[in-house]
Amino acid sequence: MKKTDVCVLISLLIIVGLLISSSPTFSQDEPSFSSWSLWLGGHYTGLNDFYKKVGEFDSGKEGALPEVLLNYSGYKGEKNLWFSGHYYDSKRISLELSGRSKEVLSGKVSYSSFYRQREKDLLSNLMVREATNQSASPPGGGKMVTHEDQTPNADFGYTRHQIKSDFEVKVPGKAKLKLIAAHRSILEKGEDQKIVSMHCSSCHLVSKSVDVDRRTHSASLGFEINPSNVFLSYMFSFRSFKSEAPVPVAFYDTAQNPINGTDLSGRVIFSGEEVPFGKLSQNQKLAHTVKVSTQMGKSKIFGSFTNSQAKNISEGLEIKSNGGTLKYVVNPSLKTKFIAQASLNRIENDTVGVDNPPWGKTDPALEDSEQFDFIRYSNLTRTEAKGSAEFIYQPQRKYRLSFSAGYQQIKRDDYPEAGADEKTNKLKFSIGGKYRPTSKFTGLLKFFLESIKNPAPYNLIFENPGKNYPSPFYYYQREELRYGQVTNQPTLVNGVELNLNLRPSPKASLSASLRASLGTNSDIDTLDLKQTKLQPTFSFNLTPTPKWNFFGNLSYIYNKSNGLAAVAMMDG
Amino acid sequence: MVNATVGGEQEHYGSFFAQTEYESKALTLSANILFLATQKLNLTLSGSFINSKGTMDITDMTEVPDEVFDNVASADYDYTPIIDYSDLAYTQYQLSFGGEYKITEKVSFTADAVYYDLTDDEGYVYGIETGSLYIIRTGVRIGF
Repeated sequence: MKKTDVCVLISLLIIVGLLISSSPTFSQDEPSFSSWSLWLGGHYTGLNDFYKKVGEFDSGKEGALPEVLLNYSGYKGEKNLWFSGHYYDSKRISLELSGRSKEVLSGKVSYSSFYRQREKDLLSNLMVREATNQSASPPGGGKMVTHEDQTPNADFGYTRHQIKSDFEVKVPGKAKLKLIAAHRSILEKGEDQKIVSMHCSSCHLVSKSVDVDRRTHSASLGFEINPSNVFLSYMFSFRSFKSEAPVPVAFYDTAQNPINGTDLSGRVIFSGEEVPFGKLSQNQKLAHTVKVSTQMGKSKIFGSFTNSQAKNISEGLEIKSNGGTLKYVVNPSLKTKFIAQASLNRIENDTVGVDNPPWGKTDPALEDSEQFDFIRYSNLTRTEAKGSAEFIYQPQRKYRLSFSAGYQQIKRDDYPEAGADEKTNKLKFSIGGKYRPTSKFTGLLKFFLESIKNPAPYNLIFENPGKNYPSPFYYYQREELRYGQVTNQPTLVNGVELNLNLRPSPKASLSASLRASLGTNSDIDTLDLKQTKLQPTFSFNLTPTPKWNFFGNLSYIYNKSNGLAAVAMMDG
Repeated sequence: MVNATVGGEQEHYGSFFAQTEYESKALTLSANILFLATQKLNLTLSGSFINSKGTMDITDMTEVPDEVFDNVASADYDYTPIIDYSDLAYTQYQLSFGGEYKITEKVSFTADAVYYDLTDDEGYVYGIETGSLYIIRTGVRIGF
């Protein structure tokens, strides 16, 4: 951590201490308690074989180290203070200080750090050279994939530091005003792998070691007020991200045919030069959230509205969103309940203009160079509307039935192409029941069905034969030759959820659940999609005597889906 | 469903596709035992086990037409490696044992050990990831 970060942490710790201790004085007769606990010891870490995955969040150093734990908890009157500190090793340290005074002021400040080991992509699965005959006898053709590791002995990983603080002040008075402030900083520092990919004359991947120095800061400030039967809250939040590490630079290969040395630099953007790569953008996000709720007789109304702006400061791009929800809950009688919800969200993501240098400018066979500039429209620019209604009926204490229906529409402005306004519509239905004959058994069963119209398939995946244009203009024709759709999204989902809870005695409890669903899609022209999902769980807790306690759980997840594999048949 | 799109004497034959089936299974188990042996000694034993597998099968890959096979002389169209490459599997388990013994009302001796083991021999991107790690901790807790 930098000196400024250490200063922030110390300042926050002092603020909490001062705020708690500066509250109104208390009587000497007030009850008090304090307890310290110090643990002094050490640990030995042993490693075998490849330890970077199994010990991903360990520092990965074999040997013995001292370790210290210190805890304090105490109260005096209506004030309490709690402290915990743990030194595991130089990269895993945690400190936490929290306190509360007279139900008016509360605060918590914490610091924690750990080391994360990062594995290295060996790139060894990327070593291929074009065959010139079916027996693949050497030397092979000019098209190949090769890789290069410039730091074979690098030990990648970074230390993550987190400083977090939360404060609440309850202002005395009938308005029940509460002021809320929170802050979190995450600092990551170390070393990681980045891979540069060069293409055209040959595919050449280069692995480099780069510095990591990522800084994320977030803060929020707001209030809650609850004067009578109306609750109102407002929260402003801010988050920023910046990398302080130098932008890595790589030498891009000189583009030439690896067999005969023909100059191919006119086909690539970078050739034989140092180029910055893997730059992390500086980002900032601002959000305002208002929530309101009120009770009117047998009815409750909840509402919320959020406005947010996220900016990529480095590139001058912005994404804006505005969204609101409304929820209405009413109990028409003691045995019935009705819940209605509606929400509307609008997201607008800036388009990105990609400015490529002219292509073919060095190819003497071409009279004019070609422009390949394009605009990238975002699939995220969309309007999403949702509405649902649920009716719950409980004729007896033992039984409860529920029925629900919902509708959702997503309109994507620019998918699959600019201005398309393609819509996905979803209808949801469910029916469920709860059975609780005694306090020892509870069972819940629910069936659900979702019907999805046009779940945004990927279009034009495959390619027909029919090359008529000469190279290089054939590349324009390839778009004309494309056909077919692929999706992994179903148009119909049927499912069931079952939950059973058994408590035969105060010493034992068992629970089991199952969620199963089948999704299908027969709308696309290339595949009848079928997805099966099964997820059973089981857990138990047994305390046969006051000395023994057993608890455990089991979960199983099974997914099966069909799909398509596409293979290109081409001759160079 | 299989659809080959092959045409005439062209050098470019488009693409063809075949149906595949992907299956994934993940089993997670965990159990804990707490035992207050005496007023001075408590013991804990816990463990967890995760086994995850993913496989893909090409259920119906078409034969490459002779026309393509003859003209594109440098390709053998052997798709077996696609299936092998998609087999993913790992097993991870963790076992821990610990105890705390009260020497006096305010002083305790603690000892615990934990063992983590991962078996992942597929080794596609990061190499063979099989490995293990163990940690033994001892210390004295003082209350005041």
